[in-house]
Amino acid sequence: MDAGRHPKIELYVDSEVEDVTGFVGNYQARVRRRAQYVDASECTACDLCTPVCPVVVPDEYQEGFSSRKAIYRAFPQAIPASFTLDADNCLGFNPIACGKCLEVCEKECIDFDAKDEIIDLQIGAVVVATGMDVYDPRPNDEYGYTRFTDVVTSMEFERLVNAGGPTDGEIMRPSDGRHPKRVGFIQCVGSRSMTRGVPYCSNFCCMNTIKETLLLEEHDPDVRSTVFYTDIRAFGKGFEDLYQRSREIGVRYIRGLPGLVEEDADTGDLIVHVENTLTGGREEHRFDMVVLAVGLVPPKKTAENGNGSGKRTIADILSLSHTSDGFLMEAHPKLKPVDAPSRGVFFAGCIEAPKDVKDSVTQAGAAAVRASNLLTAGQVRIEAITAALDPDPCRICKICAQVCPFNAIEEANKKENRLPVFIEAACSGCGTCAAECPWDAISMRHYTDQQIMAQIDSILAEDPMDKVIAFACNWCSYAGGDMAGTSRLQYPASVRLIRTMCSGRVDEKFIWHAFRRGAPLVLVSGCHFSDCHYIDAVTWTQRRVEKAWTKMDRLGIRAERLQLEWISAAEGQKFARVMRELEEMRALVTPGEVAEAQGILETEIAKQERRKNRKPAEKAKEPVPA
Amino acid sequence: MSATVKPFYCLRCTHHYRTEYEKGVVVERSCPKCGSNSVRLVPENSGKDAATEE
Repeated sequence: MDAGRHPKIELYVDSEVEDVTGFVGNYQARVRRRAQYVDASECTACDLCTPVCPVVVPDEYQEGFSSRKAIYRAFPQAIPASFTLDADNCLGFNPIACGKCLEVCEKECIDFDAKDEIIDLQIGAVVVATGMDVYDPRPNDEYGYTRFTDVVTSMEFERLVNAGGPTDGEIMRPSDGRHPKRVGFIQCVGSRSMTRGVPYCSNFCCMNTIKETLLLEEHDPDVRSTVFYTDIRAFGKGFEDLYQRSREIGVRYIRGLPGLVEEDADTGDLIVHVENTLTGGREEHRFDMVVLAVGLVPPKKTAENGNGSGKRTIADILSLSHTSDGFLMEAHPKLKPVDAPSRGVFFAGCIEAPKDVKDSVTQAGAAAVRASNLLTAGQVRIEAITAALDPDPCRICKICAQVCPFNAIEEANKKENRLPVFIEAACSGCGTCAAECPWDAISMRHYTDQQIMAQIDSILAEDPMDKVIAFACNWCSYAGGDMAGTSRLQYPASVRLIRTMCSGRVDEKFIWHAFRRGAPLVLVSGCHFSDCHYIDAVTWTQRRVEKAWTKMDRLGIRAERLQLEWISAAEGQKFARVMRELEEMRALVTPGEVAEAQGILETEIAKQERRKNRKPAEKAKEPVPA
Repeated sequence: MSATVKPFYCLRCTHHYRTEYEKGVVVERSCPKCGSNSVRLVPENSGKDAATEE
């Protein structure tokens, strides 16, 4: 409500962001504002329209426990404080099928001819705060959610216990309206499951249940609550106190998740079968009502790739990447937890990970300050690791713009002889463009070809047969090596790391150069796909390595000598294991095959150099090298 | 384009297996036997097939 009244905040409700172009400080957003059939500036919420509306549909806000009309107010605190028309459920207004609301509206603020409006906005920063969805417990059939009326989700129970809910806060069983005296809470429904639901902890459910047990006791001291749990995670400020209070008022905590919920046909009791993992005994408990503490899942409409709607999601529009659990990935989990990998984009709330209200508010405040700092500074300070174009060798093939994960390269035009333009403010320095450029026209500041080649030369200057060249990305694989080191894990000294910001920087020619200098084995390693700090740059790494394997086949070099591995910063053990395996493989490479490959590559690279050094007129006719 | 089952092999442990493949779609792959990510689609002209080498 504060946001609605704030003079510097303009709210676009019932609107959808259709496109965002540009870069930090200079974003252009196209917003579709759906037809507003009620003029919010005129509507006084007098409520004359709802009694005459003949349409009755379940009220989504009340989780279907009550109904609403087709013209309604979404909930008491809705902003703007006006009524809205549900066009999907209205009997029709083109032609007008009913029009009763129109007849009674004294302010004449209903307009059936309203159309969607497209709004173009010039913005400097974006905060993505599109929330989460709640896990649908229907697949967990053993809990009987679809069969028993008195098995409800925690979201539904929240409405029942809420003073603004359909029962005005009076807790009643949905089946018969009786006050429940025995209530069972089943934790981790859909959370922490490798088979059904999601593998992660949804963060808020334990404390939500504890809160509900306390509320139940406040409503009716005779209610006996029982909580079935895996672990109670009460780690926030004051949370342990709340948990202890709940135990003190007599709430029973039974460690173990029920295997079955049944209904007693005679009494209507819900019977919960559970193995108490603390006593090892099988137990049966009878309840009047069972509450399923459902977990959180990423919002389908805004986060998931290919959400089935055919529309681009916010993640697609802003080129944001996902973590393995489907939430949007932050730039760095510890150092930049509210920043997206794309500059000028920030996260608030559950779109980044499941979190409770307090953490969401904290993150929202941080995101607002981050955005505000950016806008008030008037300029952006960026890392000096960015791509730079050398116009002479550039043949305007446009590959760089196609592979850039951050849309930081404005596409060139060959007909107009317009070179690609590198937007430094948007470049994050992954180096994928430099690695993919077939004409060597792009250099990465601080990670130039010469610098990386010099490292290879230096490593292989002495005893090259005893070395393994391993390219490791800064954020994950290299950090995985650090983890192995700090964990005192042993790995062979023959492995020599070359750090790049992203595995996407590893140009094919670095691999050939290493083999030409006598490296028996080369490893390219980077982040797991879901951890890539440069959105999808890692996919270009895989494509490039696959292409190199094919080329090795063609040249008669054993493809096994080029290895690929995704190692996260936490996978110190994997890092050490992979390095030991590589050492075993290195020992099997013979000097003969290394020398043979060197000869083949000398010829091949000389051929390539000749091709690149041809006159520009000849080059222009030439197709892009494979 | 729909996914088809294609033969793959591991460049670390030489394990051959079949799994779903969709042309143009890049996914993270790992060998079901050793867990390595050095997994490669069996080249069509190699004469090798997962079914015969598993």
